[in-house]
Amino acid sequence: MSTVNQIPRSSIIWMLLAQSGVMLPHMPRLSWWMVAIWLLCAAWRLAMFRGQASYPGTFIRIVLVMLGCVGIAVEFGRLGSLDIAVALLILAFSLKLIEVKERRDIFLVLYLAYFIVASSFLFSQSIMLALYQLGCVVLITAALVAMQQSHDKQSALLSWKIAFKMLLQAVPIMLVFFIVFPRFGPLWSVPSSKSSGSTGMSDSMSPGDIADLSRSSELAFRAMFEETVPSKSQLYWRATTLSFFDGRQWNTKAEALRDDDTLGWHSQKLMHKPVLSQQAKPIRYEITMEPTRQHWVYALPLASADTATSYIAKQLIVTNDLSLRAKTPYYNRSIVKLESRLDYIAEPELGAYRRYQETHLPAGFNPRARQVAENWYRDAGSPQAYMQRVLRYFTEQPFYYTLQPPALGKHSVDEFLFESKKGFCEHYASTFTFLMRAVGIPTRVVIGYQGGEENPFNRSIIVRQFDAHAWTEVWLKGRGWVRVDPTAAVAPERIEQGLEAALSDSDEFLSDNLLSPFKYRNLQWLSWARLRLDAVNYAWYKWVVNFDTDRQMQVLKRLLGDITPARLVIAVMLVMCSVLGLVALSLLRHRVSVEVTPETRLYWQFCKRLEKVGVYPANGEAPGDFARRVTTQYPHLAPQVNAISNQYQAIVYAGNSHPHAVKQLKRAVSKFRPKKNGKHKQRLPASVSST
Amino acid sequence: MDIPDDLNQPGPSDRREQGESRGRFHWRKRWREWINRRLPVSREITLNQKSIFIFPTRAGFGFLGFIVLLLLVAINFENSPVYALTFLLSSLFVVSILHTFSNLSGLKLTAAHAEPAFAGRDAIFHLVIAKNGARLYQGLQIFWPGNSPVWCGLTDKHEEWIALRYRTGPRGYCRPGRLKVQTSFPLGLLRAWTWLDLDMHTVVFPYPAKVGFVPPTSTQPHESGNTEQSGSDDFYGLRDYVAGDTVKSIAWKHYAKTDKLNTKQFIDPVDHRLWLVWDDTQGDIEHRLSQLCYWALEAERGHSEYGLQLPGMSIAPSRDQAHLDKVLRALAVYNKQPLKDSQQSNTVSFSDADAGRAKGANAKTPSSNKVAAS
Repeated sequence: MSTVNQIPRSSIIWMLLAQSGVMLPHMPRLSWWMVAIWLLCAAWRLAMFRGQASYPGTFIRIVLVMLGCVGIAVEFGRLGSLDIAVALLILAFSLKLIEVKERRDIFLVLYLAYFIVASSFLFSQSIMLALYQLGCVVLITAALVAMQQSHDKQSALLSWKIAFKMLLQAVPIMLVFFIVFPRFGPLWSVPSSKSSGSTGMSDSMSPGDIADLSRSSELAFRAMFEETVPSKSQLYWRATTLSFFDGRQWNTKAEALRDDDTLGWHSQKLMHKPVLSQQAKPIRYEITMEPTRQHWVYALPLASADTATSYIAKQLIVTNDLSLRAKTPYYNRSIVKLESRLDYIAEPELGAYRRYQETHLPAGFNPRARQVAENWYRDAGSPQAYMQRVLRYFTEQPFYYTLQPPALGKHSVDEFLFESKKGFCEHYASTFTFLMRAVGIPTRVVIGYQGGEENPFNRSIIVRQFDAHAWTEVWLKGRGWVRVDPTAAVAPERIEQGLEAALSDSDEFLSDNLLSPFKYRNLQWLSWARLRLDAVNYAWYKWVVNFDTDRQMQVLKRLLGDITPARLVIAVMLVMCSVLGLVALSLLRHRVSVEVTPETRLYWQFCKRLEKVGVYPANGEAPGDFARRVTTQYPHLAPQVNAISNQYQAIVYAGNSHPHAVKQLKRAVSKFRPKKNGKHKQRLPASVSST
Repeated sequence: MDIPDDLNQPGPSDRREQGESRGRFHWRKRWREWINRRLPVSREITLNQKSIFIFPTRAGFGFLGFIVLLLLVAINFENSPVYALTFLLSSLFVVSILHTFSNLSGLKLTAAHAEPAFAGRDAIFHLVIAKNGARLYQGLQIFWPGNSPVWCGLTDKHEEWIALRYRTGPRGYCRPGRLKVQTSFPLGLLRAWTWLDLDMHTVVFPYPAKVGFVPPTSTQPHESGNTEQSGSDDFYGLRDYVAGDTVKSIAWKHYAKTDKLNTKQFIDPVDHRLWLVWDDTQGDIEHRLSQLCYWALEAERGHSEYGLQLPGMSIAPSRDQAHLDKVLRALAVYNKQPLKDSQQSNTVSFSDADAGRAKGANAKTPSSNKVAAS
């Protein structure tokens, strides 16, 4: 049946609308020529719709497909296969437009549109995108509805309404599925997107690296403490330690030392078990990692995976330098549960090789600094006193904390210490470490973040890139590794209040970013809106995006009390049945919402009686016309029919709605008992005369 | 009823496939018995869960396939929003079962009159769909299998008249059988349908066979004198004015009284009455009837009264639409068993119709079958 498979014209418009909607979030990822192909196909489709063009020939289609595939291979070849797959999906989605001929093609295009919605979530899972895509789902569903409605000449609004209503009804069932569906790991390994770049810590530090990072207000990570939040000066989020200096750059591993395993690096690794303090109760918290593409987990010192969640614990390793490392880099936003003990002794004994590692300095750099260090150490006598001496130097001398320090030459420590005296945290950390190592005190640079902003709406700590920080750890006999932050000596407000306060004298804070809301923190309402939004975002990530087995158990436990299969099944059935029951009730209930006036009801009764003699009012026939038709067919009924019809018309059209008139009509109708006159008993249908 | 204009077009033929195997026939019979028990014949029916069947469409199965695909993406990428989308779409499918079902449920269908047709042409059956409440019914398809569907719905109105076309088979009584009412509204993923026997029937006139000559005029002497034939220029009656009537023949007095134009009709004194006689035709029964049918149509177009003589019956001469209908009906049902009261013995009439069809099919060449089926 050809009419069934034909495409309704309005569906083309719906299809194009839905397609534009789902393509929009992918636009930044697509190259210009893919957008061009899509626009070309859409324009062609529109021209076909207007009858200005016909279906493209096979040749043109093959050329377009080839061009697209070659383009994708060239453009996305260097990126991950996920990007290629999505690009191919979008190419097929575009090209299918000019091939749509039957109803089922439209179905395919709309299903693909749902799929494209899903694919956009592989790149971003933000709440804004989710809300936008929810709108797109309504649009695609409305397009499906419109395709079924096309014969009724309905307004587009009705399609929207139906789609919206159905989706609304589907939401409770979706929630049930979402909560109870078991979450297991990937069935097979899948590629992840390599296209999204990210800023953040790298595993090395040269002068200016952290200053660069501090220009960004991007979210670094988020922490949610179970109980009280430690004071701001204790919030040193460690990423990793840098122990190897090549004269300019600090690294996690030294290229030069990598082959020295003969000295027993591996065997020594096992020897330094940290000695824990008496602090019985660790601080428990969750870190929401952003996709850093790195292995580190930002954590307060002496962190370990929360022992309650074995799933995460398996994925985290505590390294030699007591930082936390995930087995796989963070490509997606994910939540880790941690516990930390702030009072600890790490590596109480330092072996010869470890000492060598942590005091190693390359020869031939910064002779002045070495000289001064030896003099000071000689004067001070003990490592602690020497440390105080160095820190006093920073305080006493006009050192200046700035994001824009002058460039330094080969002997960077010398230049910084004695000439420029302007630097950011990495300068102070690096210089301090150098001075310590110069006299043989094991010291290392630690990079990570310091501080963070507390969101009053959900008590979470938001740490941004401008909270990036570098500090040092000094090994002291009997105390292990002790944190020393030379920046605190220069700019204590950096530690107490954050970067903005430390830079309050100058315009350096987020100077490239005039429109950033962080620049206007003193505007109350803006701050309120920003933190509110942040709280919503956090809740979204915590409860939706990061809904894993742990979270699932947590929710189910809260809802059901105890998780047993029987309870689960009963709960699911209960919710499903009640939701579907309510939907069915609202659908199937016979509601008479159209107010029928008494005169209309009487007129219906009149028509119903006339049915007995075999005349029916035709579609859209006015009462007058109907009466004329009846009287010609059955002249003997004329007086009664005319009287009723005239009375009815007088009430309805002439506005004579006096109760008396209605009463009169009622009397007339109740008396009206039409009978077929034998003479007129003919079986010819009424409509024959009109043909 | 549409009168064929081009009489050279192929006549009636049966679209029923010829070689229906015995097994299939058996299952058909079983199915008919079952459905007759479940949905008995009735001129009026309100659809409910007993009468509505529902099943996913091909697009619906495709949709389920897509959901499985989405679920795999969600599992493998451990992506919560994709999970949510997957579950939202599956719930949408579940909800749409109710919506599709409710798009038929509560709908009232009432059979109205049917218009006869010439064999092989479309007979038109009228029916009324009506609703009780404020619910909307949209995207309904009503049809007999093999005939193009009528799309309809009830949105702002409470009832709607539907004219259904049914391509008729050979001459005789026509009972199209079970009617299909289906919908895949709102999403097209599921189809709800029902098979209704609204006891709709009509007659099928023979297909007019064009023979070389016009009907022979008054070759037969008429046995009985006609009382209406009283003499030359006798006033016979009034009829509605038709453009082309001479000004002289208009009943002006009548016009002055009633403001309506009527034409005076006179009876010619000369006997121009025609008799369409069985014996004047040649060939087999069907061919003879077709010839008579053609003559009747031609005679109606002419100016003379005409009567019909068939073996065992005759119709007195007259000339108007009702008379033509009477004549054509007589030709249509000649030698045919009348339909029994379908309420009681529905299966019998079914098989009768089948038998009739089978006979018709045997008489036709396969090529003509194909033409009509397309």
